[in-house]
Amino acid sequence: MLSIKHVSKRFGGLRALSDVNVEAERSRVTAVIGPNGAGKSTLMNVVSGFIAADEGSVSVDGAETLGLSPHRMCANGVARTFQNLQMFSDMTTVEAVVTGRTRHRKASLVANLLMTPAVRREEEEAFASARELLTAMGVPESFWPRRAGDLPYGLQRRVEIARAMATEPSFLLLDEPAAGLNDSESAALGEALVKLAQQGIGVVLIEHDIELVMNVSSRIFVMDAGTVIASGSPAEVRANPDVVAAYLGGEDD
Amino acid sequence: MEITASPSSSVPAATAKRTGITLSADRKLTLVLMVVFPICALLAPNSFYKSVLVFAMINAIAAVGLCLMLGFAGEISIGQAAFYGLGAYVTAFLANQFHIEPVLAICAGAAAAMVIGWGISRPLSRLHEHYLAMATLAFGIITYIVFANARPFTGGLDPGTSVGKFAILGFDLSSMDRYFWVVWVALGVASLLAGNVAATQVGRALLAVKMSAPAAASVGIDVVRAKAFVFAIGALLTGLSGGLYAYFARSFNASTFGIGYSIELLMMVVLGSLSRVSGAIVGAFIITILPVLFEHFDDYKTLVFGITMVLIMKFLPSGLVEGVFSLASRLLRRKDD
Repeated sequence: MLSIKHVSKRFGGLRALSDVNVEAERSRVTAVIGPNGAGKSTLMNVVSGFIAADEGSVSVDGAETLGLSPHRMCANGVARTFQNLQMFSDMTTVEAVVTGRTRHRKASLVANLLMTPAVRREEEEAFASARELLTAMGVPESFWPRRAGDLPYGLQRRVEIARAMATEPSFLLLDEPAAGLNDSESAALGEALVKLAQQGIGVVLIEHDIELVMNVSSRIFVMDAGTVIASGSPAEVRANPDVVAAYLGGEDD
Repeated sequence: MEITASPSSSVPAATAKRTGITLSADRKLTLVLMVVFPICALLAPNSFYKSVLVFAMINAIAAVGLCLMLGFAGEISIGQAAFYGLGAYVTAFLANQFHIEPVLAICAGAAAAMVIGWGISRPLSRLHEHYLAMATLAFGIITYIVFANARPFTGGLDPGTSVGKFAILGFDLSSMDRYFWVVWVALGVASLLAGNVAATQVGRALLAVKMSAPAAASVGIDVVRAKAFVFAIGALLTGLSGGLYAYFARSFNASTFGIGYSIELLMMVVLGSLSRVSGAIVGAFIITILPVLFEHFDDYKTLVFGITMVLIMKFLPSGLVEGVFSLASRLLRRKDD
């Protein structure tokens, strides 16, 4: 269980988050939606350690993690992707995913500098698992040795998810993964997310693509102006008049 | 389809073979260079040219260090002369005051530079690009002033300092013929070490930090620690190079360790290739040797040197070695068609 309790964050005079409570369970897709500026990305940055919250608590499976630096959050089982692609562009695609294995590499620095047989074995294992992840995310094999930055945008998005998955997270935070994807790509992404959840990972989805959210999420939190204004199943959220007024209704105009 | 990582293989064998631990093109070129240096030394017409070669190899060790910092981690340093000087002065001081084995003195000099490199990386870890360039430049200037004025320790600009002959367990290796092999071994070790950094997750973590620090942190890489490591190893190699320089020059003063040398090192790395260890060696070779070869242009020496640099940067902006590699791969591809 990833639980976010009473989290608040102020940037100067702007209250980006005030008393936000969100919970995400493993094996489920949980979505956070809301209009631009609602504080969704800020929330994600707080949870993944990139921004320090002013108050509140974030815990992963009962362990308090608020205030940890990003690489420590990763060690606590929280992986993420970014709203604006953050790719290791000059690496090959497979190496970019191998980099995601960092947390699980046991060989010491000295062993690495000496390139001991154990390091070589670990390296091969990391490449093998990266290839499996790329296969699972549907990145065609012909792209694996290519420079990651040269891949089409939609594929780079998938590589980013594969890289996050390489850390073997308990919770995977996705910041607008469908942005820039066409309908069929977006549907394929939805299927992939459901599959990840079936493996026991808690997927937290921040997304504007309402159709995608409604299709894959088991619980939805709706944010507006830094607060959670509604939460529930897709059907409940769809029926909530506050949500319709703040967000869904606005889109139909 | 299984997404969690377990090393059961549903992947075709052809691609499974391609891992990061095969002998890379970079390593092969480095090996070739390690053979070329002794051949050049054999062909050198007199001991002056031989000493230029030795100096080129000493510079190459420092350039390999900077290549890891700038090429891999993206951490620019215009203060490398500080580590070079630290290596040289600590080596000379220990050898003169305590009469310890020259090899140990050089190692101690390199270690001292490493500690300082690690130390300054902490306050610098939040700086990027030109801010980092300014800060390391300032660090270089400050250490230069210290070297020039801490006369009881360094001898300052005048009279400078001097060391005895290089020897291992009393066996004199100070002649240029013998010292060549000492430096050759050191360069071999340095490039092996740097090659291992490049071929393992250590180098990949540095590249990750350069390409996207947020993404690197999100996959569990401690960005501050990675930068501290690369400053430490960059300073270590540059300090080693400084210690070797001390026994090469035998007598030197603080003017050797000014900004000029830092910039020369930067030129070597940029000229050769930012992303390859062999590039740093080629760059060091060229920057050290070209001015000597252009000697008969007399007054036009600097002009010819400058034009050569501009032409290389204009037509091979990612460096000579990178240019040669991409040309070779293009030719090979044409043959395949």
